[in-house]
Amino acid sequence: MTFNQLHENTDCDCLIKSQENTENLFARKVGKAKTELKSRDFKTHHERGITVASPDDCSKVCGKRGLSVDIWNDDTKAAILQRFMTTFAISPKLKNHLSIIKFKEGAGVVKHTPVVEPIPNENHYDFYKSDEFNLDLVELVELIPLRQNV
Amino acid sequence: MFEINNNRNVASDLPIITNNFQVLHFDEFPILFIGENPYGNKILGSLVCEDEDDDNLFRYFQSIVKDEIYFQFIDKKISYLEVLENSSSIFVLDKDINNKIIAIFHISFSEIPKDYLPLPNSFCPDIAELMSQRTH
Repeated sequence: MTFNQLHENTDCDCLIKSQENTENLFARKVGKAKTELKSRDFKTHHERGITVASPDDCSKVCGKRGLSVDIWNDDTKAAILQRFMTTFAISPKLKNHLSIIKFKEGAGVVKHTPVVEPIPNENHYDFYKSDEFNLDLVELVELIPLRQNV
Repeated sequence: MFEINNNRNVASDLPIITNNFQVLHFDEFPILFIGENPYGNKILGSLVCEDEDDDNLFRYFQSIVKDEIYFQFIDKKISYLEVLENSSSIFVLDKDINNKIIAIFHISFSEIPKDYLPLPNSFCPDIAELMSQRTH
C-alpha cells in the first residue's frame, strides 16, 4: 500500500503505530437511508477542505486526514450506540445511520486514537485511506437506522 | 437543509460565540456546545445537519439562553428541545467546515421543521467539568 495522498503537503508521518486490520468490525456514521455506502461518507475533513491552525501538531494534522471509526464488538457496541443516540437526540437529521464495516486488504490502515474529552472514548480509531482506496475495499456488514433505537 | 425565508436573514453578532467555548457533546464535530457572545450572554448551540449536496455547508442552531435555563439544562431538568421551545432568540447559522459564517437567520421555534427538532430526550450529556457549575 502507498499513502502519498495522505502525506501530501505535510511532514507528519501519520502511519506511526498504525496497522492494517481486515479482521475487526468498525462502526461509522453515514447519511441518508441507503443500502450501499457513498463516497461522501468516507471523505476526510482534510479532503473537505478543513484548515489546521497548527500545522506542526501532527496529532491534529493526522486526525483531520483520517476517518473516525469505532471498533465494534460485543464489548463496545453499547457505548458506541449510546454516544450516537445522544447525537441523534440532539440532531436527528445529522447522519442518522450507523454503518458496520470491515476493511478489505489494501483499503488502508487503522490507528488507535482514544478520545479524551469532552467524554472519553477508548473505542476510537483513525482510518487512513491508502492511495488505492475505493468503496469496493469496504465491506458493508450492517446498516443500522438510529431511529429504530430510540 | 430546510428552507428559510430570506427576510429572516440578519446581520447580527448576538448569536456568535466569542468567549468560553466549550463542547458538551462531540461526535466527529462539536454537536452540542456552549459559549458566550460579545455581550456576555450564554449561547447554547448545536450542529443541526450537513448539506447533502455541498460537502462544505453546515447548519447550526445557536440560541441565547438565560442563566436559569442554562443551569436547568445542565442539571437535566429540561431537555434541549425545551430550551429551544422556550427561547425567543433562536438563530440559524450556516457555516463552512472552517467555521466561517455564510449566513445568519433569526427564526421562531415554530419555523423549525419537526424532523429537525431535537427529540424529547435531548438532555445534556454528563460532563465532569459541568458538574462544578451546577447550582446544587
